[in-house]
Amino acid sequence: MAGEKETVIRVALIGNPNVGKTAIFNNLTGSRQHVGNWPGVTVEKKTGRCTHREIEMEIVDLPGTYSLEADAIDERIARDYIIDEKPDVVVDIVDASNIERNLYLTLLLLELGANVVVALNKMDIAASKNYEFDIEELSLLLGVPVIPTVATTQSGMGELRDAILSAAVRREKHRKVTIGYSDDIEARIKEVEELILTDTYLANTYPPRWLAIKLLEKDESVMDRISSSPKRDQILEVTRRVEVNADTFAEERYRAIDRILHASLAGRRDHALTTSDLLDRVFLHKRLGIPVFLILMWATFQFAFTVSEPFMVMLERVFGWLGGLLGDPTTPLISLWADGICGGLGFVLVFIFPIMFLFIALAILEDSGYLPRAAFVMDRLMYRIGLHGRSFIPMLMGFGCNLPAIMATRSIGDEKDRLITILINPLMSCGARLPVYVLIAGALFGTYAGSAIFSMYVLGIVLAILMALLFRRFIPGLRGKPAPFIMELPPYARPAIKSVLLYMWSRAVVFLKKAGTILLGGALVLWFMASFPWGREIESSYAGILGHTLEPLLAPLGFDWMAAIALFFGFLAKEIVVETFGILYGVGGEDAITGAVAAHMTPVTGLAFMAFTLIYLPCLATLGMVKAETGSWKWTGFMVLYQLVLAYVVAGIIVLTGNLITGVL
Amino acid sequence: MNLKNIGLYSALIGGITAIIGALEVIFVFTGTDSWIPADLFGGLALLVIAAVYLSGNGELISKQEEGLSFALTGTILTMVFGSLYTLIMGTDYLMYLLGEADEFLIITELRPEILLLVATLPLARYLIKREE
Repeated sequence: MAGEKETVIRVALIGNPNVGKTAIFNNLTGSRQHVGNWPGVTVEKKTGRCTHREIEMEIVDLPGTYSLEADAIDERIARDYIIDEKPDVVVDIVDASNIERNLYLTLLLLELGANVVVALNKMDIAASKNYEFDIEELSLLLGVPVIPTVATTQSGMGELRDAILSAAVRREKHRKVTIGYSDDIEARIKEVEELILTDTYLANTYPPRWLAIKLLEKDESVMDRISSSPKRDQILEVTRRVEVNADTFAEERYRAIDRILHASLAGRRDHALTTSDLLDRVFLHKRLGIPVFLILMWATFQFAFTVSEPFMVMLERVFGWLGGLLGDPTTPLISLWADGICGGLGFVLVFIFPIMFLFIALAILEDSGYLPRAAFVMDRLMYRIGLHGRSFIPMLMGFGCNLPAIMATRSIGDEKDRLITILINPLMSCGARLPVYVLIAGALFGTYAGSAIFSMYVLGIVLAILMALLFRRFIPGLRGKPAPFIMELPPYARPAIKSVLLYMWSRAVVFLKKAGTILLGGALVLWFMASFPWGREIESSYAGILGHTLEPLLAPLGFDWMAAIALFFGFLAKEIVVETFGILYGVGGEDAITGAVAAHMTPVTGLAFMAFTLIYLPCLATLGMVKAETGSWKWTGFMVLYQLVLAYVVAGIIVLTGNLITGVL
Repeated sequence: MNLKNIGLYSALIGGITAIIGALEVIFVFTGTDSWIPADLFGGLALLVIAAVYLSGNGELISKQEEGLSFALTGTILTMVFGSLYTLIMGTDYLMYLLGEADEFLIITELRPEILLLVATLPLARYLIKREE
């Protein structure tokens, strides 16, 4: 341990999400970091090292968590690490501008007997709110060192390192408890604690007071920990007899926090309404909240589609000019350049603009603090229909890309909730589907193109909700009620242009990388299939043969063989659907792709095609992630099957009702 | 402006927004060719914005500060949609320059949402001053 030569101090960083934990981890460790996974789970584990005053420290970045209840994987990892690995020091990073909620975790850590150092971060934001901390008093009341920091400017990092070293050296095995409950609760805790002390193994392995509190709170994972104790039955009998309402502990902790802050913090305004308060009254309004969310999303897609149009036209012309540089595609090599590279890959690249504009709008909504409010508003609806509130964040991420969105479901503790969220996530329309919508809607819906695109996103949300409801009701193993959900609402802020542009660029880079790899490969394969045997009509090319083989399956929906082959290859990556049209129409001798789309589809079949593309399957990479995250071929197969059936049914309904309305039937 | 005047002004803006929104929706079904465009989703968006404005009138007229929530959010939403249609006007002009559109007429491009944006400027000015 500390104090001995050549020992390494083990430090764990913990804190609520968005408190600046990663920034402090980076400040402390610099480039000496290692990223891996926590044992047995796929949650990322970051460790790093630093040397301070010639003493080596190993720093572990625990997942962000609001509590230590072990409801979610993240919370369980953090708690188990502190209990089982017993780090020398636990640095609890507390957001000074949001201290009331943050101190809850601090109290839980103190109950757990951790050797805590509090990093009171975001002091600059707290100062802007006129918060004035009495640091010494706060430290005295908590019984642990409190170091003011501003992670973004590295302020307080030296003092934090010093405090970690001092805490490691002075480590007290039995810290004096400063946070007490009411006498009645304390008496019950004492009774259970005394019984725990009679079991040497339990008393030596876990802090007895913490164990007693958790047992009184009926924490299931703690119940498991005492399952092999010879005193188990006696302990459970006493906890039943002295039963305490689980909410009582939370209420008492918040009362303690209030007392601590009353004595150590001045300047908290309870005061005139702030702009944040005013905005929240409408954005979180129970009747207006959802309509406002919907119109903002509609504006987002109008912006992405309409504003990107002239830029798309310009780039399309560039690729048209490049494609014609070598003359008419009379030889395979010229055809490869004109129809495969410029007509196929180039045609997909044009869609980088709607993607960039979409992510500019989403970044503005996120950075302004609105998107978490949207999640909150939707949570009310989602909980009512049996979905977990935390599901909305991965679903929202699904608008960008389903792959990280499915990874993000790890924050959902309950396995059933998590599985349902994974199963419905591909229904959230990712950025890769956008080029398909832009092409079809632009060709068939004129000034209503933006609305047609928006309707696909709404369709995705509605279907996701309906499927969740059906799964929750009818699929054995998924039945039950969702767990309750706590969510942080950050303050509203003016979006920074740099941050918005960086976010947009990061999405554009993903698209460009895809273009340079899978889309280029797809373009080459598709060009070959559409051009060979060389000199034949496209109908009798390899692509034509494959398309005509698939066509009968999709003919009832009004899709021709070209649409069939586009959907077939779209399984690899959704953008390939657009690429396929570019190559097939190009090789077929049609110049204007949008004109060709309009000639091959009616608005009804176009809408059905867009819906089919949205629903029928996620891309190959996402499917791989579903298998990895569920660990089950059964659920992966189930997802493929239900999506194919659902796509067919929804597209069929669109065709049927659309034809009835337009009088085709 | 005092709270009561803000309440009256936002009631006026809310009322005009509601009328224009309703007309945009109705014209979709009647096929009416007018300066107010036939736009189902655009019209529905205006109706939502109008509902936001009008929800706060009671509180504002009775001089309760909470009512500012609705005037503030309504103003922000009007500005979002006004800016959106101003941008669309710009891109339509670019499309015209590129030869992708046959004509560019300012009268058809100047959507009512852009004029509503101008009309909300006094409210925006008050709310910015209050924030400062």
